[in-house]
Amino acid sequence: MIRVWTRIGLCLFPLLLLFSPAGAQRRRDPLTPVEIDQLRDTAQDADQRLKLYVTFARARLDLLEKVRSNPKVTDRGQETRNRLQDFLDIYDELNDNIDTFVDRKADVRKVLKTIIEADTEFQSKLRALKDAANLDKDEVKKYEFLLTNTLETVDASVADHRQLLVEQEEAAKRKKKEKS
Amino acid sequence: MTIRNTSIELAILLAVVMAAPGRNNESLDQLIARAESARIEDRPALCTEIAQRELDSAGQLYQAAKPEEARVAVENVVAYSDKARDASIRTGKRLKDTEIAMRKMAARLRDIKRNLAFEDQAPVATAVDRLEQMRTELLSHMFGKKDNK
Repeated sequence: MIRVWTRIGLCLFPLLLLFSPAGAQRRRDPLTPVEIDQLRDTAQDADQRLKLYVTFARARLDLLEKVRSNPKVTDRGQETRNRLQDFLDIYDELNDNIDTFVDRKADVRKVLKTIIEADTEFQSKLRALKDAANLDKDEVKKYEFLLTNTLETVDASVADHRQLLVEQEEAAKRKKKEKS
Repeated sequence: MTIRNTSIELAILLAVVMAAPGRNNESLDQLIARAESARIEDRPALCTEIAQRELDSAGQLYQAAKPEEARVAVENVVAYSDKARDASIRTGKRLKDTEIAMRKMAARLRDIKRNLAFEDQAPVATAVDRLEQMRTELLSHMFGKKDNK
């Protein structure tokens, strides 16, 4: 009987840790296991991998809009904050991955155009949230700073992505000239 | 007199031009030494740069299948981030920059972690948690200050 209880205890212990306050403080991965698998399959393919990041980031903003329009959501401020944080984490990873592929001298011109289009879409969605009128002050307080940070990050990144595209196109032209 | 002034100006310009790339090419050891002796106000930026360089090297070491050395680099990421956080909070300087840098480093570590073998993931996950904790402390400090005003 004692052995049965020991086994039950051993099974429950990890669950207890997971739901303990210390466990709850840990920030979960912003990506789902399925998304992580998809990324793993595209580790060497810049176009596919970066497109996936754009898709995941877009999905987080879509989710954010759904959360905000759902009347059943009780703590809209906190939910907005969580979704925004997920978006920003994924967007940071997108930028990191761009840097990695550029360091490897990968040609990312094609996917950069997709990214720049997405940047514009993200900017307008985030700006719409920032400019939304008649919102509860306490609700806004919960995500205001993060939203400003996110907008600053996206604004700075758009400029970087455009600059990178110009540089890569110039490099491609030079390469073509050298070949001919 | 004019020639002498021009020579002095040229000498200063030359010194500045020569010193600038020197700083960019500064080795990690040199940077660490500079951080140790720097004024506390300058430490957040220096320690953040060290943490970022350690993170670059951790990524390269994991890719080169050197998990033990990479783990040490990850520990250094946390250690120098902690120094940056501490100096930032004590001086009230570069709080936002330090927080943003930590957010980006945590994102990069999460990406690194996902590509690792299961047995190598734990130290990276711990590092991510520590960076997130430091971010929270920096944010609390920023907002705490605002409330006091």
